[in-house]
Amino acid sequence: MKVKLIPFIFLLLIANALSAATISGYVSRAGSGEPLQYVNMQIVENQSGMQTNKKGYYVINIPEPGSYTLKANLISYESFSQRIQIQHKEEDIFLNITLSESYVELGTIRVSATAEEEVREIRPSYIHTSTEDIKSVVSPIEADVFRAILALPGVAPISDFSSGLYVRGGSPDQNLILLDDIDVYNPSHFGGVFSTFNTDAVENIDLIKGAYPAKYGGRLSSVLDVTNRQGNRDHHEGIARWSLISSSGTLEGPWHIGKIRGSYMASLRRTYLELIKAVYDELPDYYFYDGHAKINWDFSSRDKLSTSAYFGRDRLRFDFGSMLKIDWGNRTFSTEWVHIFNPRLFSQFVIAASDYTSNFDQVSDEDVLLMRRMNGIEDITNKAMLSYCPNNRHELDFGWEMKFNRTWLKMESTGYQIEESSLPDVDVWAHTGSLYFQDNWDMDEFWTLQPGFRLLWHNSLKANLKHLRKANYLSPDPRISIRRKLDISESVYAAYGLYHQYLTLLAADISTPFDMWFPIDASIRPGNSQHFLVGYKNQFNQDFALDFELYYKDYQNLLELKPSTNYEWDNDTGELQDVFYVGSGFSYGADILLRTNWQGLEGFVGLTLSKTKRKLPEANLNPYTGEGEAYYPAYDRSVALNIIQNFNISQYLGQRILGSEMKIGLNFALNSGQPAQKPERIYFDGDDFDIIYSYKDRDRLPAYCRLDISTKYQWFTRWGYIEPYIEVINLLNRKNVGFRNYSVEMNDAGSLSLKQRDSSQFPILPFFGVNVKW
Amino acid sequence: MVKHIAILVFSLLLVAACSDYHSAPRFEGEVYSVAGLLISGHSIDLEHPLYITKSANISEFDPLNLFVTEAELKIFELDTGKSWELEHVIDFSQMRVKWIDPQRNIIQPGYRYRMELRIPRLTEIISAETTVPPPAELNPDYYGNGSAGANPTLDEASMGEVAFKDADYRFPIALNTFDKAGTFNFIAEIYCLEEFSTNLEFTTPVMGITHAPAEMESGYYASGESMRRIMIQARFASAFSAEHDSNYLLLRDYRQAYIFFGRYRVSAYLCDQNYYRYKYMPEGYLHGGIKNGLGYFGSASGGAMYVRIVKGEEEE
Repeated sequence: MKVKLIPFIFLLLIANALSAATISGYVSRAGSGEPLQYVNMQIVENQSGMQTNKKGYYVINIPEPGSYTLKANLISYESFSQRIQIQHKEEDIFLNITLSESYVELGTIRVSATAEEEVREIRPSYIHTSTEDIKSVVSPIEADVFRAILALPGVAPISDFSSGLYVRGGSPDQNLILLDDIDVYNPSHFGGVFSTFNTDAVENIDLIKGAYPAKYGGRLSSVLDVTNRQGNRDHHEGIARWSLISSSGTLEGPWHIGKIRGSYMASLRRTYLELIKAVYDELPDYYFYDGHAKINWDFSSRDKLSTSAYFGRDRLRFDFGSMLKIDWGNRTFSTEWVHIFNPRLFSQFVIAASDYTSNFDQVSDEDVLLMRRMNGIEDITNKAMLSYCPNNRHELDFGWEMKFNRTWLKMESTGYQIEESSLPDVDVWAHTGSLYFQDNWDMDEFWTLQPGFRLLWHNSLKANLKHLRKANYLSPDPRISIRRKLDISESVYAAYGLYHQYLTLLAADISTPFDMWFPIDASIRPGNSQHFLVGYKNQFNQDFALDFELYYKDYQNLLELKPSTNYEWDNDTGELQDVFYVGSGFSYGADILLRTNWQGLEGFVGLTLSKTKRKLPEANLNPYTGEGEAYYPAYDRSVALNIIQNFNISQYLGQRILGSEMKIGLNFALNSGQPAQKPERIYFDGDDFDIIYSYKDRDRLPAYCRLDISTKYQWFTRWGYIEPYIEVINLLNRKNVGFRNYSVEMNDAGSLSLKQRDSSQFPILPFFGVNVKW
Repeated sequence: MVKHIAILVFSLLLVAACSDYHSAPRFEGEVYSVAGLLISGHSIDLEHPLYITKSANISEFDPLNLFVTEAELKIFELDTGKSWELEHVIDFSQMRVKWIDPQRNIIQPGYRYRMELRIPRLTEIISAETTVPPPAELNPDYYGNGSAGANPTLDEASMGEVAFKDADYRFPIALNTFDKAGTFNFIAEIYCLEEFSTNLEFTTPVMGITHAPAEMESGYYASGESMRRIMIQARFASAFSAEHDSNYLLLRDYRQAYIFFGRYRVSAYLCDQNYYRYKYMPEGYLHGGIKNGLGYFGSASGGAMYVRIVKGEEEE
């Protein structure tokens, strides 16, 4: 351990030895005071600069006294420029800046729309999306965070009915999903149709599809970092939405007590299928609700405190002879202290908690409990993220994370005489700690090197099942990226990272509320993955920008739930190795993202070419050798094309409908068919003729194609605007195949025939609703 | 230079991505399968036969041609060293070829049996072994609630009528395991004896649908688990019943498995690991204990009862 800390301490000492004047401060949005991320900050005279961080903070070192010009630029915002006089080398100037939007635009897509020239940090596989971007993607019923993410290259949907994210060959449990820096587990409503995040409450989302930096860890595939809005620091405002099945409301504004100022944001959403049930009584009794809240205290220019909370719950009652009562949901709570020790040392300290629980009760007509199943995970996390900027060539990121998890699964049966030991009763506690360090080093005007390192350790703390062997793992995860600038807005880069995962999800092929997270025990090695990628970026002009990446991900100790678990579990002897197949896999491909802002067409075209394979020793069995054969999993997509475009008719063509500003949105998705089994032989099972199937990937379902459109009409008033909208999902009413069933049937003549039936995905679906902002 | 390399790599990937990625066929030539469930206390007879089928491709659909008749099928009672050959009979009424034991040797509970199948032209012997569970007997009226014509019966011809709401609490699936208590692999099958018709009425309407829609017909007759055939399986515990002075395995809440009103066969078995895995595993034919072939060779103890599920007074 000591040996590993030496380079870290050495670099800090070197960094401390350097001295210069600084200009630092926060950049915020005019009219709301909310922080602006990734604003390009530059000293014109020496071309030194950086981008604001996620909190809107910047610091630029100025080695010599003199007169300088500070410029701030962000697409869609008016440029800022100010002369700065530096008197001496030790001078620290703190300058907060506000930027005004260059025009009012709701439907703008700005996916990672930043010119490359001033960015110090290398951000491979990185896509930044704002809440406006999310709302611009046409989604069933209402805008949805995951649906918007699914349109991006490198992210594969499994079906229309699921918002599970399969990022570059990784399964949903291999994505680290953070909401204000705390993990969110099983983040979906309505069996995966909606994500848990209300778009009105979300400030922005950072998706990192691979080779993610040392700041993050604990998952094999990707990071989805969601930040809640801070709320308007300037004035109170709100937005309300009504759609066919749900409504939501968001309020935000400033507050102050004495000299302490801050802001708040609160958002609530609820479905009301009950109203439809009042008309049509046979529907299941179902609803979900969720809420986000955030409150910020600006104690001083050096200290900010924020507290954020999220809660969401789904409830389902279904009578099928006996009554099923099911509910599930997440809660998170996070408190963050942002402190500036000195202009060069920026810090964030987080204490957070998160839980996910799901409950299932089967109750008889006589109200006798027949079966109960409860599972959940609790997470208490403390983390620190510090950034030290000793000079304009180095930016050192370092910090720690301590995470305590408790997970449980308990089943009880009073109505059934099921053997007690076969009903899981597992309650385990675990700890995962990590330290990280990363240097963003501009070696010269062309080359940037970003070495990083994350050290993780994982221990089982206690378990109710005494025979479970305690895990104790230490994993050093190196990360490195390098970039060569080819021109002012053109660069190539390469990145590598090693990743370990200690939490695993017990889930079948399709995600359900009953999916369970468990920390690994000593019977299973932690999963690990290596990411390799090379990329090319070019901001051709203001109209077009291109991101192109080639990637390869290798997965070892992949875990997949054994079907036998539900039938053969034994509390007295069971370990995780009895529950999972352990295998390996890989994924490689190319992602191309062409961003457009041309002739009023704003959006992007994404293309993915990829290949994903898995090999599990006991799955997809070769009948002759008894060994598992490698296969393309259901989320393998050879080709995926997405076109997301928005066009403001009023702004670009001058056309108005009844005085409203009219916008149209278009989503087009074309994916190659997903792998599937097909019948190869037939046999008699003692009662009927049945099918013997091929390997999991012998066939491919037909290609998936869907066109969605939306139109929005925006009437501006003195107090805000009214925005009715109409959406049509699957405008072409294409019968996209979700699943293909086969059966052997005997006809009247006594001969057998093979029947094929396809289950369709979304048919043509019109939606309408109204948004009101004041 | 970089652009040219990128374009080249991208072009290669594009060409590769447009290829149709899928695996090779899983099976070669003829594939043999066995379906055999030895029932404790019974011989391998016309009611409980073994079936052997072969299939060379998916379009080979003549039912009688699928059944194997040219084979040597032998059963070994490993605990006693006894063995006997099975012979095939053609059941024209059911269009099936059944392999039965002409000597009518009784399958003994707790005994271990081995099956060996030799097929001309096939070099490997297809084989499997099973251990028969302890004896079990289905009690159709555990609580003694029934009366003539108003309770499930072991005899199909005399099945009684039971109201849906009472079907499980008054008449649980009760397997008498005699002197054996403890944990067993338990499988119950609730099988609707009615032929498909749009007059079939749901016991619990789903989304307002009260009768079976016509498009359900193929699914109704589909092999494996279906609306017609509901399976329940788990590791159940048999416990002592003072009332009956015996050990019983009870399933009290199962009436949801009566999807439609009508006649039912309710089978309940303790079964061995081969049959248990065959039933619950996806592609169970790979997990039924057969070496060099597919299907299952298992054993079970238990029986079947018959009942007609009708509307109760409240449901009328």
